[in-house]
Amino acid sequence: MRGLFLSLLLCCAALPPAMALESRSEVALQQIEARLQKSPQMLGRFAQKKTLPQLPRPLLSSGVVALSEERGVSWRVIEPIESHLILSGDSAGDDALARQVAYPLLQIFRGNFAALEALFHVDAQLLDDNWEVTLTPKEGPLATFVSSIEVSGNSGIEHIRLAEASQAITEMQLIGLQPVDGEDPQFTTEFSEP
Amino acid sequence: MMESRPVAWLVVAAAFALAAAARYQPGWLQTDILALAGNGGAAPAAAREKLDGQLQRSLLWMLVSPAGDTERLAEATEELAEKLRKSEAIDSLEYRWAESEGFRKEWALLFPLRQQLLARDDRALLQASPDKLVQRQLAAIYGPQSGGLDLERDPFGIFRHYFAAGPQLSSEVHGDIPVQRGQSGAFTLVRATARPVQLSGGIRTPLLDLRLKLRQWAEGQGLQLLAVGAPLHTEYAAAGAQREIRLIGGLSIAAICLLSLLVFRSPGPLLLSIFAIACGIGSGTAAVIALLGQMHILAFVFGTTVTGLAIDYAFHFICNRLRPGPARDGELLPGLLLGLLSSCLAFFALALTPFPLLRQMGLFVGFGLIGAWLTVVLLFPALLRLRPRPLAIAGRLALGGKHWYGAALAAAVLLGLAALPRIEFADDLQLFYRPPQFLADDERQLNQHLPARAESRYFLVQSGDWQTVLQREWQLAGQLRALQQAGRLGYFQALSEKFPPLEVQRADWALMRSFYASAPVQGFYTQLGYSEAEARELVADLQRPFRELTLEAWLAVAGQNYRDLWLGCDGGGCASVVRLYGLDGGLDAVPAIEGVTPVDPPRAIAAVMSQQRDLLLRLLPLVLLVAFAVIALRTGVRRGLSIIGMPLAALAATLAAVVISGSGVSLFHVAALLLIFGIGVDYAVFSHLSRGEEKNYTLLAIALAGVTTLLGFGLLALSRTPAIADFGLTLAVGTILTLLLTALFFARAEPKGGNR
Repeated sequence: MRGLFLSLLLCCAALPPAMALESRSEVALQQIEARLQKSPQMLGRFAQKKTLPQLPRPLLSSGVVALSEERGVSWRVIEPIESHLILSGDSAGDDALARQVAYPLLQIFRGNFAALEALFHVDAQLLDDNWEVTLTPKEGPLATFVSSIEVSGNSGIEHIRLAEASQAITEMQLIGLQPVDGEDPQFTTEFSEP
Repeated sequence: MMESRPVAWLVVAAAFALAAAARYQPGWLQTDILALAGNGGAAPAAAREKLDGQLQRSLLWMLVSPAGDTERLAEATEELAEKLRKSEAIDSLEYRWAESEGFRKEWALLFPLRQQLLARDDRALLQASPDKLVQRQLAAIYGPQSGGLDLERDPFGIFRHYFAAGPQLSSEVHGDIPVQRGQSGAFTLVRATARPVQLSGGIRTPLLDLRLKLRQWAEGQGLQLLAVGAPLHTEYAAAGAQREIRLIGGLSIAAICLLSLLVFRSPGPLLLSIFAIACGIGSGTAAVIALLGQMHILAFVFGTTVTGLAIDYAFHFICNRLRPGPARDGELLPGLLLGLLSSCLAFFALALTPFPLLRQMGLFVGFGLIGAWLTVVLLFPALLRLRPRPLAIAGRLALGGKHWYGAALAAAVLLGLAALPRIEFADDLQLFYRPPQFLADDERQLNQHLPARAESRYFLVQSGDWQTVLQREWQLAGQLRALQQAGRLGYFQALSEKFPPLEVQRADWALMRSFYASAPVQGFYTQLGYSEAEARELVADLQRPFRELTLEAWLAVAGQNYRDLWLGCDGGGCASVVRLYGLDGGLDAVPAIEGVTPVDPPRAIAAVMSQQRDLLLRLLPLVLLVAFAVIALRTGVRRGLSIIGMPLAALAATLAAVVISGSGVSLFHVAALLLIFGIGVDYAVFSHLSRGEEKNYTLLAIALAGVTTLLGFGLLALSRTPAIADFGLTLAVGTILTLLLTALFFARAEPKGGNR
């Protein structure tokens, strides 16, 4: 009985600091979301390094990334192969597992971290000039193949690190992401069907 | 002699009971309306039963969070499931659609068969341009998401595609509960199986009560709860019918009791009459069980109603006892016997047809009338105690002049003939039931969230063994894909889509074998940084032997949605169902395939109803002819014509009234016409055969029987169910017309004042 009482006491004692941490992270998240450059259309480049446990060396790729509030994310790989993928809410493909990853990625690219709080524990930190958000999946199927997602940046998202449960690590560097006009020819080309 | 009659009655009753007991079997009362189709329906009985169970007991609950709070929604779904589980109205539940343990088991069973199981798109890609499959996978690897790549065993994600194939909404999963995100918030689905509806005496609506309670709970949580499914409608309809029967039945019983007490000044005659009808229903049921083994509920309901004719015999007998002086039961017998023979043989003629409903109704009514008649003739003399009294008032019931009867007969028949070309038919299922607004609203809102729900129409695939069932399904799937491509079908669900026939699996295996041995696959590995030797080794390891798996083994671990499609195998063979989603147009768009039957339940039911209606309508003249022949044998042709003229005129004028009212003629109208025929024959025989001062008593008996029929069945016209209202109204019109014709006949038979 005394043990139970002590445990309860400890739990209660631990509550206020935990709540303080939570609310500090929430404030930071709000500040980060406010800081993020939001534009209905953005265009830039990316450099990606994917490390797969089965592969002898990391896979490096680069290309053009375009973000559209309406149409999702266009990911055009130019080097070393040519490929094009559009991630959007309703066209993330017929692969259920890929769709599970596509949704958080889509929200991250949109800077909409609050939407992910149902799926992830969201920890946000403001550093000197930069910020960092760490997403750890809550219990559920997502946790069986995503370990964590780390996102950092300044006025925009600059770096995403996706660590999978299979030990695969994907690091994405977003370079020169700038707002563009909806009619921008390159932007519209990016959203033409791959 | 008098003492031996009750004994004779007991012997007959015992004979009926014994004959029925000898052939009695549980489930003798059928409820499946498709069983009435002449060919016995498309599906074997066991398959239909399983499907009916799925359709008739399945409920879908949708919990909607307009705010899109998916985590809270998943928690609330768990609470909802708990509440449903505790309810006595619910049998089983399914809501953890993403139940990982089930998927794991299925994956473990099928993964070793990964070289022979392909998603439809991947099969097409491998056949047309296997290079694209390599490019697709490279694009995925170099893309921002990799999501569980297995470069050694499933390098192109082919098995993963196969396993996850099918239309899916974008969903999040919280603790095995998938939460779907839509345009207007997020939602979860809970499928429940309702317990069978208890047809007990009290009006109970456990599901509708549960729905209301849970809606209030959901509103308190800031959520919206929608519920759809046949059991809700069944319960609503049953409760409505019970309320109506109580109200209408209560009113009519009260009115009949009052009338009987006023006329007979004793409750005895009414009780005896009810007993005679009960004996009629009992003997009719016993005869059908003894001769046919089973009966459809529709035959039982219609048959019971028509057996109500027996009240004519009872009232005729009772009114005759009111005559002053000693009981003269014997004088009645010729009329009673002719009434019985003419109706009875006419109904037996129906029993000679090869159609289940007509056969059952014919036997039921024929033997029912015999049972009731024997009760009147054998038991009433001993049991009926009534003080005789003169009935001057009855004479005043006779109407009109001498020639009015003949003129009325001719006018009624002409009216019927004139209406005949304008006759229209109605078989709409809405005759039985119109869903209430609150359930229709739930249905509409739920459909807005869900892009497609399974159609009530489906394909039934049958064969002697499961392999052929899958082959036929595969053939059908080819046709359905063409419909999909033409934009006329959203989606279909078939076992063979997930578990193709063995020869397709073999072909897929060969396709994959040559793909794995191709240069692009070797190039894929070297592109990823493997050496030539490593790539060769990996490629060699990809090749798997072909394995045979039975459908049964797969179904043991397959998801419930697939298990529901399999109807199983019995002595009649194996059967499965192919479900359709978002079908635009009819099932006849698919060319005929051996063993594949398109099933459209509402249409099939409507077709059976119209078939039975047409048969009955066509047989009505035959029934009249048989009755005429029986009567003419006893009375001569001329008198016979005069007698049969009354039911014929009543039928013709009633049919004309239905046509003029603009209502389409349904099976229920025709069932009422059959009863009008019986009433007409009885009234005509009794009125034509009664003589002298007996006439007043005959007229009273007919008036009482007519008013009782009007009160008992005519009041059904007030029902909110169109089919029942049609039946009641038709019967009311027909009974009133027959009574009018009887009154006119008496005026003709005896000049005004002659009776008094």
